[in-house]
Amino acid sequence: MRVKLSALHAAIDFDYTPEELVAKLGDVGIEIESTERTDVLFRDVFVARVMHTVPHPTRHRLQLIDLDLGSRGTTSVCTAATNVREGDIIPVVIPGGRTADAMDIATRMFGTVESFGMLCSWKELGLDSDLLSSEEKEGILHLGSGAIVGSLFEEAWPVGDTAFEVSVTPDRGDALSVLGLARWIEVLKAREANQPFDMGDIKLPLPSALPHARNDGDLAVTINNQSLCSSYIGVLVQDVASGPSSHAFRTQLYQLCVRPVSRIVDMTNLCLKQYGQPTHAFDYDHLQEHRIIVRTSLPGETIVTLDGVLRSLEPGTLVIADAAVPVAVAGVMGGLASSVTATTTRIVFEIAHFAPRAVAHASRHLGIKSDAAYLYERGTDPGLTVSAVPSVLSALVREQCLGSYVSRVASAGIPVPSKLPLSLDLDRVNGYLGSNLDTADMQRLFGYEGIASRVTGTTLSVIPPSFRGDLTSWPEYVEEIVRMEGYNEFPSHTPNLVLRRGSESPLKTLCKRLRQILVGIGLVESRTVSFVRESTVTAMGLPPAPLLLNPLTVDWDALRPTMAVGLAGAAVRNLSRGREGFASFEIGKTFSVSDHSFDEETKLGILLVGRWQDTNWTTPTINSSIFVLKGIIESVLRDLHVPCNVVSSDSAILETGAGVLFSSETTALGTLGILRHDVGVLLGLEREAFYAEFSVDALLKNIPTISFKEFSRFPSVRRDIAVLVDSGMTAGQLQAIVAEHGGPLLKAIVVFDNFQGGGLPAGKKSVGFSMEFASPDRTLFGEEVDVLVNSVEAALATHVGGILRRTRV
Amino acid sequence: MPSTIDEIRTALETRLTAARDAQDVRSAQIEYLGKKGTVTALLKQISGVAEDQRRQFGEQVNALKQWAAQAIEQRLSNLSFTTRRYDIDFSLPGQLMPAGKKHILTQVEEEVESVFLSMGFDIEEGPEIEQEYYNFEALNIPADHPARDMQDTFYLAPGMLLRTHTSPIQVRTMKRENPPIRMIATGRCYRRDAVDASHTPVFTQVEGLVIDKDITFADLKGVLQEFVRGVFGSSTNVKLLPSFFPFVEPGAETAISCPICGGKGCPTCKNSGWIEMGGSGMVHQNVLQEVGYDPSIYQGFAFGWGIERIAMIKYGIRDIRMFYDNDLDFLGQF
Repeated sequence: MRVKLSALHAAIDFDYTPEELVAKLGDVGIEIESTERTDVLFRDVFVARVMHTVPHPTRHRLQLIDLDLGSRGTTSVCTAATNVREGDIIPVVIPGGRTADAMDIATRMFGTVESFGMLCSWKELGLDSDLLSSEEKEGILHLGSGAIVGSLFEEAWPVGDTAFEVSVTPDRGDALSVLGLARWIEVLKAREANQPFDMGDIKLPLPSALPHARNDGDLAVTINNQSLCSSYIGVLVQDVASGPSSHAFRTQLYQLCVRPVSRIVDMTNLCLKQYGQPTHAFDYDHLQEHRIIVRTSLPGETIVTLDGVLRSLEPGTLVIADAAVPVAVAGVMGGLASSVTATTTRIVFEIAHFAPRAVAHASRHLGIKSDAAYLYERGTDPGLTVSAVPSVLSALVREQCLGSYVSRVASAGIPVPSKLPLSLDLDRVNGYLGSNLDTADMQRLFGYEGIASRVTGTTLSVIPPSFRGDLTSWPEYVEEIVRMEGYNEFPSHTPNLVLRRGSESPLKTLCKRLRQILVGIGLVESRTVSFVRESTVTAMGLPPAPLLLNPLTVDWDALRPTMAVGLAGAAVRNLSRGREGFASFEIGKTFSVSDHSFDEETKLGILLVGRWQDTNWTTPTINSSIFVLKGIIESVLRDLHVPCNVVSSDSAILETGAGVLFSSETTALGTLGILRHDVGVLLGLEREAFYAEFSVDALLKNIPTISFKEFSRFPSVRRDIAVLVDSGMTAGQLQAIVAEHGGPLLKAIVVFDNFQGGGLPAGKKSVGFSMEFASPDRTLFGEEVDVLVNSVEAALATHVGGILRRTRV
Repeated sequence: MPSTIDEIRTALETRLTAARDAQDVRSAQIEYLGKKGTVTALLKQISGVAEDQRRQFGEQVNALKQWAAQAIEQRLSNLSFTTRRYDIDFSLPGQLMPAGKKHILTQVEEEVESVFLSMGFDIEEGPEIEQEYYNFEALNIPADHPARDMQDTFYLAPGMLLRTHTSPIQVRTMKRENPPIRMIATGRCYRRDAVDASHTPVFTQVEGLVIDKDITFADLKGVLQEFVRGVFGSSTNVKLLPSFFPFVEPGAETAISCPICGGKGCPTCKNSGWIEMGGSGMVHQNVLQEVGYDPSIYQGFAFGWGIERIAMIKYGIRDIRMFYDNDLDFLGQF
């Protein structure tokens, strides 16, 4: 809500600077999001009345205007403006003066005619164009007849002000008006002066007497559902004359940050902004039988709302109806058929109190957001409904000559819903706050906010003022105690709790460990958004991803079923910024859907593209490859001691024959391979990329318990062999033969060479193994190791036709 | 090869005198006193000497051994140790080592978690796809409540949404466990906010909850103070401001003294000296009732802060989008 400082000053006396006001309101929970100060930048601008206008003798686009400056005499100016007529009240800047846009004004010749000044539009005056009507923004600004001719413009228009943007939490509906803010300023003053809250300090007209109310044939109001509408008042105005609001009213609207529209709309806007009370105007002659019935809607009922949309009403929606049909959705929006038009001569103003939940439900169900609904949802003051606002409106009608008279006020409902007192126990309050207040303290604190209280022993009986709809249970009163005492005046100490260790889930611990391992290997952790584009997921050949019903954009209309999309996006961004490579992992949730049920799983994704290891004078460049990635995964699995089998993978996102699946005896753990090139291209990644994705949940289930194994403390013996085999033979097959025939003393086998081509026969490759033999209890003799190596060589020759190329000791 | 004890002694003396460095002395030591050394060989001969001479020979050999050990030690201590001369260009970089990094949000998350683990808090988790009930109703945010506007929500199906805060984990924990409760939860949350420098639709929260018979508002302040000092440093202070969150009453916005300017006023704190960090308050009676706790017996506090916000303040990061952009130059900085 936007409002100007001058409007607050008009409502209550206070002498805080704008900065102080912002800080003090913030301390009681009313946030001023921003302040905007406008200074008076013009000089010597006066209010003038147009006496005569005549065309310029030689320049056909110009007029000569004679102006009455009241006690300052008369003057004349030349102008190209076309919206100036005799009798108009307009601003003029005289020679020696200056406009808000920094133009210095001097006497000037237009042909043979001398001009003593310049007529001003809103631009020359630096006015806030958002708060002006379209007429006010066209050409020279017209001031109403209320402006005093000869006075300085700043006396006729509220310039040089500070605008506040007030942002309130959903429980602070009571602060969404000038009256509401003035009440909070009164609270601040009361607290500073240690005096009780006094509504008498509020300067806004708050007539308490309801104009004479009748409920007869002219206008009859009935409330059928008292729990959703506690009171309803209709103010009938006859002989309505349309037209703009007066000068004084318009300047008041300017202070309230309300753009003028027409007399009727301006009046309803004033009630909303000044008092926080929404009002609505019906065309009386379009209300069947001149009746207003507050009721819930019936099955099948519809309404065309003011915005021209035909809307089906959910049965039970609170509506305002005439004798036949709904004419408004209560507190949300009026109907088009009963709206005020240029031909309207009789209107009914609605002033009502609706239950917040009724308005909130209708507003959300119909998808209509309106200023009225915003206020009603947050709670309006049921006390004000029946007292001030109808009288204020009636007075405005008379002041603004809207109608000849207010003929009828019809009302129904309980005037001020009485609140039952609530009991507060002193010990309970202190036990909740960790404080040491006594009943007198509490009474004093409540007094600042106008909350009535009575003490009986150690109990306080409290009744809130009608505008504090937020106070319904005892902790809410406790909050007011804290608010008034000051949130920071309360003690602070750490709780008296039993000493114990905090715990976390094994999954969380595993995630931390995985990060540690991967970071140690040299990978950078990414965090990417969980959204993907559904069409991308489909094109990747993955199962359907959960779809968002209300996505932000089509690019983010589904939840990720894989980490690949986000990591590829991060890779693309980095490569486009000139990085040579991207090696990153992410641990997070992936999502799936089946039979309308959603599932989520913690996954680890690793993506390698381009350079793996940077180069310098000691270090050669190493590019990412499938075996760099496999090395990373083997390292992780070795660290976790997860035993697994490796078989070829049919993952949809990996190239054929370039992917493997790691699995335990019972479950699949994850896959790694070369990312499908077309998938990469789809994700913007043209370069060869290597991708692994593992289920952290599955890894967790397969981590064995670790126990000590005896190890050899005697020197080991190493023997290398290389064999020439068919190129179709895998290293794994050869390794299995070596392991089988190396005997129990064979401690480790390392593939140190895997070579094809060169001088080797076609269809053959050379594979070299390094074997390490060791005994747990003695030093081995070279001769006994030779026997084992011979056995391995013989087995390789027999089983795979391998030809020994070399044996190295 | 010297054969008599005297010859051996003389030869070793000569060797040691000629020794130039420790290496020479150590070779002499091995040559004379090692497993296959000259003196060791004599010691092995003792048992083969005729009985009448054995004692004398044994004494002589042992004396030789003793003398040799001493002579070697003495020579070692008399050596003048000198350094070898190198000419290394230390402006050259060292061999490149793996330069992995945890994401800055992970680092902050783990820091926050370690502060609370040290205070005996459990770390709880919950699903990111959540039921509307746990995200809203159970937290005293009924359908149609204007507070729902505070958190624009992504829906997957009627009643199923992406959690807008980590608070549903509170509800799940309280429904599962009996008081006392002392927990935090960190995790990814979602709000339908358009992307700009201070909003991303995906963000991370840390949620805290303490419930017992006598937990007070003063305890909330005390715990937040510990938390803030653990993460931002021991001179950081906490200030509470009135605010509204439907699941707490009284509710408070928490501000910390600006860690950048120390509270003096700077652009980060908009010259106020204070920075708003997140919500907190005493758990609402309706929430306690909903999870089956008796509000006349149990009470406690809760708080929820943004991990991104903590990281931004701690490191002076101005744009929240950087966390999800994953530029290596950004990630490598922390």
